[in-house]
Parts: sequence; C-alpha cells; structure tokens
Amino acid sequence: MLSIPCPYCGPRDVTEFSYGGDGNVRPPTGPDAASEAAWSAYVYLRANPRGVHEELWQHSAGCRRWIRVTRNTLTHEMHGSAPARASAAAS
Amino acid sequence: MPEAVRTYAFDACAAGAENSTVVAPGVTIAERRPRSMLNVRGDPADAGLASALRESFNVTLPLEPNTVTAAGATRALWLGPDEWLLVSERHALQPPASPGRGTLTDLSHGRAVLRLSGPDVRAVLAKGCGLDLHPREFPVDRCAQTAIAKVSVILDHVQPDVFDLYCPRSYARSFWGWVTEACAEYGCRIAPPAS
Repeated sequence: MLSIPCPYCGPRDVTEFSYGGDGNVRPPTGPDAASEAAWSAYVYLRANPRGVHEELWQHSAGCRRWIRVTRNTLTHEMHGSAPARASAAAS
Repeated sequence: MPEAVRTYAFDACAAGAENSTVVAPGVTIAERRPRSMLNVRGDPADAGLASALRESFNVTLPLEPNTVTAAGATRALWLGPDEWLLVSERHALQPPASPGRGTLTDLSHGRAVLRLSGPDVRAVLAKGCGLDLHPREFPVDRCAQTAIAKVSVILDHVQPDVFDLYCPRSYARSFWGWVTEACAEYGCRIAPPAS
C-alpha cells in the first residue's frame, strides 16, 4: 500500500486520498482563442512518464486539502509534497 | 422558544446493552453526548475571527495540524489549515454575531460520538485504523481525521487511553456493530451515556 506524505497530516495510507491526476496539466490560455487541438490535448493527452511524476491528490478522508505529490511511478518512492495552492501561486 | 427534543444516534444500539458486570474490561464503550459542536472556517490570522472566538468561547484555535486545545469544557480540534471543530460538553455554543471573516456552522446533530477507554483501546482501534496510535506518535490532545473500518471518523485522544470517536450519525448503527465486535475479545463493558 502506498503511504502518501500529506504536508499537513504526515504520512497516511493511500486509501485516505483521491487521485487528482497530473499536477502540471493546465487549460490552454485564452480559452476562446485556443484551438480544438489544444483543448483536445488538455482534456485527453497525458505523458505517462516512467519515473518521477508530479501529481495532485486530495486528502479526502483527512484534512480534505489538495496537495501536490512528487512520486516515482516506477518505484513508488515519494519525493515530497506541498499544499497545491502554495505551489500554484509560486509557479 | 422551547428547545427541540434531542435524540441520540447510539441510543437504539446501546439501550439495554449496558453491562456493568464485566470484570476488568479491556475496553469501556460509552456514548458521549456533547451539548454543542461548531464547525469553524476562516483564516487563523484574521484578528476578527480570533477575538470573536476568544470572547465568545474563551478558545484559541490550534495552529499545529491534528492537535487540540482545551479550554474548560470546550475542545477545539484542528481539521484543516482553515477549519476547526469546537466541541462543548455542557454549553450550547452560540455562533458569535460577527466572527470577522470566518464562518461558524452549528453541526451539533451531525455526528455521533463514542468514547472508548481502557488498556486495550489501541488494540481495538488498530483493527480498523492505519494510524500509529502509540502515545509517542499520537499523544494526548492530538486528533486525526481518518477512516476506521471504512467509516470516516474524527479521532480525539482526550486522556491517556481515552479516545473520542466522532462518526457521521447516519453511520452510527453500523459503526456500533464494528466497535462492539472488535472490542469483544478484550472484555467489553458498555457504560451508560456520558453527557
């Protein structure tokens, strides 16, 4: 079982979390002007990397905050986490 | 206005089940009936919210995750960086008229509370809960929101070997079934409700 480090609550079982997908996918800027291909890419296309991956999780059975977790998809090693809001403001 | 008659979710489960004859029980179960529960949302740095809580309830919100501050019969449980639960044993907590930029919601009827105590309480909780509840990791005045037997529960370590479990009241009957079954092997005393 994965143990996900919540930046607030500490390590918790993966069963307490909901997966929120790739943490770096953003909708195209200028939604009216963006092409259909750009929207299609945003909705459907994902990188599926073998290795380090930044992803969003919600601690839904705990503090209910959205967090950004860096996880190795090959080894399931956790490289840390941060509140999703803070890292969104920083980027 | 007369106060509405309050019913308690564990009543139907515990009525008639009280058994004070169990000798040296490993776990004692009692329904706890706090008078009032308020959910607080807001920025802990907001001076208006802080002073309203201090004046109305004499409470200072805990800022460290998953900790509890106690002021008399009122406990303030950390639920999130901008969310807390105020629980009062005896007083009907009236939300202050102007809580700064915060929001207070009366959830007194939303959750049913069981108090588990005794030397084997950790062994019982470990059957359904993945948290490390050793006193070194989870000392008194620490709380957590987690799932116990797949029911979402707020866990509050009130005193050594005494835990309060807040479960959604609609889960009370099913949760009661799990708790009593999990406690059975340690010798389980079911005590009358504590107010």
